[in-house]
Amino acid sequence: MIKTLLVRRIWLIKHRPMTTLMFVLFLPALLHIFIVMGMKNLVVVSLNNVPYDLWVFPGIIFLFSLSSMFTIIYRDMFGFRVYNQSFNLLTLAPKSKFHLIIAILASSIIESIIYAFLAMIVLSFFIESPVDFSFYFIIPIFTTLFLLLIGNIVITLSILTERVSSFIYFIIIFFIFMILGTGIIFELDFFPIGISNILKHNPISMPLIELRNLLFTKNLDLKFVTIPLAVSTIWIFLNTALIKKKLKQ
Amino acid sequence: MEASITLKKVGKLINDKTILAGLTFGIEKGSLVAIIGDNEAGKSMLLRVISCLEYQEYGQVFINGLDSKKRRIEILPKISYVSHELDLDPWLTLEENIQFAGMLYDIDTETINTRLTQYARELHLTRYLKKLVKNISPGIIRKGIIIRSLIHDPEILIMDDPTAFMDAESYRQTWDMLLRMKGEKTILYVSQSLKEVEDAHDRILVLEDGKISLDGSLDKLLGGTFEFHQFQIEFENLPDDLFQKLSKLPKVKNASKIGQSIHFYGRERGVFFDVLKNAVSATMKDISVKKLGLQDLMDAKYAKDGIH
Repeated sequence: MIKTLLVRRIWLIKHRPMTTLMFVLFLPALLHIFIVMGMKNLVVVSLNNVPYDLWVFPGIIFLFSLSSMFTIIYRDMFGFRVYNQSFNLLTLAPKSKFHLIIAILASSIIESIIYAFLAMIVLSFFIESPVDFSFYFIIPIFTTLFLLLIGNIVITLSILTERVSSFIYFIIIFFIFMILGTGIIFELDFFPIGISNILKHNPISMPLIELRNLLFTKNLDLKFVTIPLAVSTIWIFLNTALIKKKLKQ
Repeated sequence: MEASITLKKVGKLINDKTILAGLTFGIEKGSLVAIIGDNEAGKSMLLRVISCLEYQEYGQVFINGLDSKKRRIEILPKISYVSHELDLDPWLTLEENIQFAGMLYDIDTETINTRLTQYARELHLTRYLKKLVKNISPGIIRKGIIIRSLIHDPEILIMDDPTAFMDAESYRQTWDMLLRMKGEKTILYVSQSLKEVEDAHDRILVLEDGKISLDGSLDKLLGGTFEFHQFQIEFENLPDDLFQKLSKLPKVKNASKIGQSIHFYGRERGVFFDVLKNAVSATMKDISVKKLGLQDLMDAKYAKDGIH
């Protein structure tokens, strides 16, 4: 089913190559202009003395892949369930709901990772600090971990929400939280210590914190990898149960 | 004959409202069965339950002897559901939509393309295959949906208003194909067009408030009212006293006055001549005689009270 969903995504891209190209080329550039070019005058280096444009690089990739993930699942799951009803076709395929959730997650993650990889190449032309070759291998791995969580959140939202207005309302709140509360743009250590500790121990923040640790200090705390992974796994089962209940299947 | 679909005391509730109430019936393999009924009678929900799109709260549905709740994944390749909605992906071509459905059922590309070509030719759809669905008219999309439902070669076709949006030509092509499949596939469909049901059927189920009120062939359903005819005489002027006089004639049933016309039912054609004899003093403009059909049967008055 993963292959089938990916083939469908390829067909869709084939029918709108310019839109996809604009998304991959212009969104990273826009994020760079509005985040890096402004913020680097305020925050020259991170607390670990990493130049800001390099420090924020993984964050921008996370933000970019997050928007891609939202778009894909919104269209293929929420939109088709609420409006067009063609989601029925997927639910009538002879596969379990667990299989369906995994397929939606996997196909949207694969597509988002490809976009993220292209965005990394685009972004590397803009930032002044040199991007290490290892970034191109390590960032996609941690982005996958991050997208596993994000994908589950969007799937849950797509299952539970019936109205577009509610979906958009949630997305706005979620994006505000993601930009300000997960360390994408500035370090969580800038918050008061209590809040900082809570935010750092949020599973959504963990992949980015650990990714930066690995990239800039060459340390890896496996706890920050296993917790998001465990949460994602549990969440997949939760989404499986939710979709069964919602669809009454 | 072997049962293809069996329902045992199937009940469905939505927000404590009974949509299907203890339905028990079987459908034989290879038969063509129509479900008709008023809006909100539960027709679409019945199709959704049989096609495993939604579970029933009570009772059991068996497809080829397999319990639909317990063995859903085994059942799904055997059935196909055509929804009332135009539920294709508008940003894919018609061909891609159909291929996508085939791939979901793990059908190999060659088989998908062979079936697609065959059905597209049969429904005169070949020239639309490469077009994006958003640029195709609803009637053509509907034919595409029917091909999509056949692409995994199901044994049972469950269709909610299969010819909705279709023009006369498409309607004929679709029914030619479906009637050709009768016997090898079980076809269960809901239709709002009683003419469609009268033209092509083995068996008709009339659903009323979630229950089956009538079940049988058209001849059987019309059995009680079959010999009735509907008469209409239009006068230049139909005074109330003449209408009263005519409506009280023996054998004149359910007389009603609409404008300057009298409508009534009679078991024999002879009653018509009795009325004509008694109305000879008034100037008549037009007359019509019609044998009762499914539409008359579905008329709420007859469904509930009958002709008396």
